[in-house]
Amino acid sequence: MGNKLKFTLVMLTVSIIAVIGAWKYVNKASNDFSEEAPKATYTFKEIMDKTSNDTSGLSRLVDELVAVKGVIKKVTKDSTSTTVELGDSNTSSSIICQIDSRHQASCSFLKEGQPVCIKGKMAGFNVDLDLGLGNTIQLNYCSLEKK
Amino acid sequence: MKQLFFSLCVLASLQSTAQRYMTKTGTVDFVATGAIEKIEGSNKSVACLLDSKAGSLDFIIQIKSFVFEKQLMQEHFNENYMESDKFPKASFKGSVTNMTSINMAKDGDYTADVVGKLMIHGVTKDVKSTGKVIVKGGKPVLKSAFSVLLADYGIEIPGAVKDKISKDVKINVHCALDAMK
Repeated sequence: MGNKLKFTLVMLTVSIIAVIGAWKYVNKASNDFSEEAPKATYTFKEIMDKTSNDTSGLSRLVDELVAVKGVIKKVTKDSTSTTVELGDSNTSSSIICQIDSRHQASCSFLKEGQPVCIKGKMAGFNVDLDLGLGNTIQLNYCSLEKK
Repeated sequence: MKQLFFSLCVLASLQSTAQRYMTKTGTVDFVATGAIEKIEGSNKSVACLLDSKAGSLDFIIQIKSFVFEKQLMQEHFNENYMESDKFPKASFKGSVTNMTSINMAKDGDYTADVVGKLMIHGVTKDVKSTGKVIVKGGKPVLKSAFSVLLADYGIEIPGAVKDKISKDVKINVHCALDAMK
């Protein structure tokens, strides 16, 4: 085999690997956090208290995986998604958990009044001063915490 | 019989006098169709409040709550376009100008004329749009579809992909509201 042919084959192989790598990188699915350990676990009250007492501490949790133990206040479903609201009847403040579409099936039995532990990536929070909606924390890519 | 009639009257009056309706699990989806690919994001944790007496309408949207199928899209959306660490929320504060023609006590589809201030990426613009209010069982569902130009909100498309990414974004809103207790 001539040197020119060897060089061509090496370059072709490298090019194919590079294209496959780039394609995989661009089309990589969003992260599935269901098997990851949360950075911290809170009760509903503990984390909601941070919206009024410790917003800087809460800000540090944004983009982190957290688990929350609470009671389901509302379940909103459509053909492709499930969103769970954790809260209680004493407060309009709540935590909104968008269930990861890959874990819809395991969350299909969830219903109002059920105690659960849900983990998800914290997307942010809103401290309501004037609308009467209560404070809200949002979690994305949620799944049920098994432990 | 009298008691039943009285109870029904009280129930009916309570339902018809509900003024404030809200949800924290409303949906805002967007689609930007460009030459390279279609970029789609969905946010199912949108807060919406409608005061049917005053006609006021408010939306609060956490930008990082938009989810995408692809990881890279999500990263580019938050870091390069929306700069969500710097501008974590979008909001709409406005009113339904023809609220008197929407009867919350009567099932039906109503057209809603909406005006207000839309804030995205730290830029606030006056907007005007129409939507639908679908009343069923005393509860309204708000639906609207409109487009926004990225340039209007100071969202820059990097030079390398400038001609390959759509300059306007189609937005769909769907919020099923409950009466506030």
